[in-house]
Amino acid sequence: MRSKTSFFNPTVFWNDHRRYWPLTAGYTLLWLLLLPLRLLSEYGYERVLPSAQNVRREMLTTAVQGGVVSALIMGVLFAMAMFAYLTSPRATNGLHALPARRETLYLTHYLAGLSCQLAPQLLVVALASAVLGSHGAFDARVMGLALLALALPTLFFYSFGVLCMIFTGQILAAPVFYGVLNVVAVGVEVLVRAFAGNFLYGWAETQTPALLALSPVVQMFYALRVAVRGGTLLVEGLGWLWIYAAAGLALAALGLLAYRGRHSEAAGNTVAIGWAKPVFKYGVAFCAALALGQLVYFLFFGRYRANGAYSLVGSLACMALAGLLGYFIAEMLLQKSFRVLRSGWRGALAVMASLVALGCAMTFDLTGYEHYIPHADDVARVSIDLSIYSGSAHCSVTLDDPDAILLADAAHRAVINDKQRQQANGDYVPDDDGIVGGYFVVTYQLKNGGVVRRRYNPLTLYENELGDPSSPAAALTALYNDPSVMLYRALGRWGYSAENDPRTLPDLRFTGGYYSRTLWSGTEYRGEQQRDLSPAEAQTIFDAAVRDAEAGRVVGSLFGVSDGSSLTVALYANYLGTARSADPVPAEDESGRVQIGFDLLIEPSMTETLAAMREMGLTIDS
Amino acid sequence: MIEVKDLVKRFDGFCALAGASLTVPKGAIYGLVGPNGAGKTTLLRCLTGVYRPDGGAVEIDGRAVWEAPAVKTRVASIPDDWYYFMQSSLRDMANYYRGFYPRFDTARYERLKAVFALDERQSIRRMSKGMQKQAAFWLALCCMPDYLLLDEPVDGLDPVMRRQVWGLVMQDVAERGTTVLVSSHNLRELEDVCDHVGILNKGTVLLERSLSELQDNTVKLQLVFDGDAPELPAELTVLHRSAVGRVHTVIFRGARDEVEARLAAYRPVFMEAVPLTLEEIFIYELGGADYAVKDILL
Repeated sequence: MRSKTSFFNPTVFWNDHRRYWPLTAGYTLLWLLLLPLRLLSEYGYERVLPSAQNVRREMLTTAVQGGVVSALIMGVLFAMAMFAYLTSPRATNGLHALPARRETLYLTHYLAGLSCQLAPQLLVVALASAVLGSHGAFDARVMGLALLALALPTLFFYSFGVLCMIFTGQILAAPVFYGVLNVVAVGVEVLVRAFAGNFLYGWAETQTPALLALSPVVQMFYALRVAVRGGTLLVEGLGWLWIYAAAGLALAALGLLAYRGRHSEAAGNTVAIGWAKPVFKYGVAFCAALALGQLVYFLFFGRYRANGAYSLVGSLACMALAGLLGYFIAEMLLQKSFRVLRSGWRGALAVMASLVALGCAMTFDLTGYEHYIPHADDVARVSIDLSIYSGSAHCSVTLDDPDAILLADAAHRAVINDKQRQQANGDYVPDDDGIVGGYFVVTYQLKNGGVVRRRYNPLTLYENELGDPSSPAAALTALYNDPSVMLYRALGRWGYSAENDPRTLPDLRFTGGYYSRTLWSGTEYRGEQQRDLSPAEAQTIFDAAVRDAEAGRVVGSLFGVSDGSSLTVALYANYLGTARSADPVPAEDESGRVQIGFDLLIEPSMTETLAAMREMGLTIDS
Repeated sequence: MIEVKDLVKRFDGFCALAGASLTVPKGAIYGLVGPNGAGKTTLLRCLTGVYRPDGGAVEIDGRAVWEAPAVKTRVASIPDDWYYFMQSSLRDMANYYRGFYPRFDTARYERLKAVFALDERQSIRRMSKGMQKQAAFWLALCCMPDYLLLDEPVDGLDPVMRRQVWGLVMQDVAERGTTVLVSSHNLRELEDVCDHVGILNKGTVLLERSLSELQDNTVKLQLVFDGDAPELPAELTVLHRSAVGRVHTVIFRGARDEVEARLAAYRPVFMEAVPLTLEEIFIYELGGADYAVKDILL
């Protein structure tokens, strides 16, 4: 007897297409409107025909941005349609009684759902190509990119949706899992950061790039961009789409494994895979503790540690109660019963105990987190971000000079040693002369590749302690006025690190500048000097500032008062190459040069720069 | 032949089948009887490869059923909650089944139109429960199965249609040697069609017998004696005895001819064998203290 069973069953495949054609038709119609019909309308209604490059760029941008959004939404909808039978015991039993292996059913339904999306994509790109071709704007490469921009996110999000469907036996739970899991990495990181920030002095709120990658939709929105390089249209971040497409295939394979292990009787269960049940239960409990617990604490006790009303007991109690609530709700969903107290009390105790233990461990710094400073010999570079709220003092630099690293260490240690007083202040900075508030962020990049980051916000500094080298005020001032910091401080945002030193930029050319100064006679307004600078003047001012910095003449004070009289000069330049993330508002022109602009901050001690400006006829004194 | 050995199936800690074993000979019509919750449906779902057994073996012709499409193409089943696609008609479902069952007989499908008065273009969803059951039978029979597994199969069918459906099944058994396993909570419903019966209770098969074996070994006689009834011979095993006036009804274990020959010596004025119902056979044959059969059946 011939067996019709293989890894693909055409009857199932075409039956899926027949049953869910309205979904496919809707999807096709959406993309017909977004691509070929829109292009047609552009050519039909524009008085001046748009350039071929502009139309192609618009088409590609639509495909890239719309591709992610539509894949995100339609991926889960198609997955829900194709695998809806797994959420109904009757349907599951009916299909699983048929002579087909689980693999056959899974792969056929999977391919049916995928083809329901890929076929319309192929159609709309072909039609869009025809529209462009009829106006002489056809470009096979751009069409290929558009197709990839549509198909690759589809492969990922659909596979992800399918995996969610395999893991649940409730049709409405699938989109919830899908939505939550799409952003869970970033979400949990935010919650954990808030949790740790509540207990740990110096906790730095940084986003972990690796976790961003685990939140695909967020990562795709960050990474994908249509750009022109040397006159060629490109999709930046396309590599990410390939990575996610590969991950999609891996998820599909994982889905197959889960499907093979899934019991038919799991249809109707919130979580259908046995080992995922405790993950779900404790995951919900901890997320509830972190999110709801902290929210409740915020509502009842105010703004955590920072307002000085910090309560360890209150915080722990709120989180433990929210954790319990989450735990029992998850247990009810799993058991499909409200009577879960008896069966779940052990797990509930475990949740409470671990939350309390975690909170206490952090509060009492059992891990040594708060007092840890990397040994200077182990540090490759240190980044400093220091800012005073009430003044003009600000510095944001990365240093690799060993002496500067030692200064950063010393400042960091002084701030740690001042923990008790800083915490007692909360976010209140005493309103007295000689006392300022600000923040201090220090990031060590270790030679072994590790990163240690601490953030102290708010930080209160006392001017009368400048004579004590171990005080935060003195240690931070020493760091602030270190010669290696000076140039980058003068260059402001443009000089974040030695790596971004403008002097190292390839073929740096100043294109001009702008100077503006309000003039006063005592308290009387005398007008305003506004002047454009020539490229030569901009270059002269920049060179003078560099010499001032190298000579240690960019001296500043953390206790200076901002009176609006500080001098800045806007300088414009360009360089050859690719725009860097550090560049403020980078833009690349058609010639491939990156245009940049920045404000040079001029301290009164920068005598050479000030002399150069006077020589140009710029009014320095207000 | 269907063989189930020590089958165990648990659901979230609840043991639905606790080592059930049964054997359905080829060509037999096997009635699986048991009260609600005995495990009949679970056992049938294990037999159709829907549930993965937690222990034991489920084999058809010596091959495990789980994930064995080659075996399952020879098995058609009609569960209590037969599944069809929401918008589908009978014809759609026939096309669907055709894609799974290589022996699906289109000619038979056409012939059965005369038996099942159903509109094959009508949405199955809009059919009554009885009509849906007819549709399920129609499609299952067209799959030309060697094994037909039926779970409460005639629920919802009117008496005429019941007879027709059983007629078709019997015809398959007679002509093609189809093996039928039919579950029911009602033994009376099965006694006209089954030649083997198994009783399932609390996840285990308490007993299984061939009806001919039981009927050959049990006899129910109505006896009238002239005067008081004599002491019956000790070598005859009496399973049950009752009397209404002078009429004594006695159920003996043993062959009818042999029992009648022995009783003839007592010169009864009237002696007649009365047909035994399945219930009586089971109750009196196995009415020992160890079995709760009576409770199950009545």
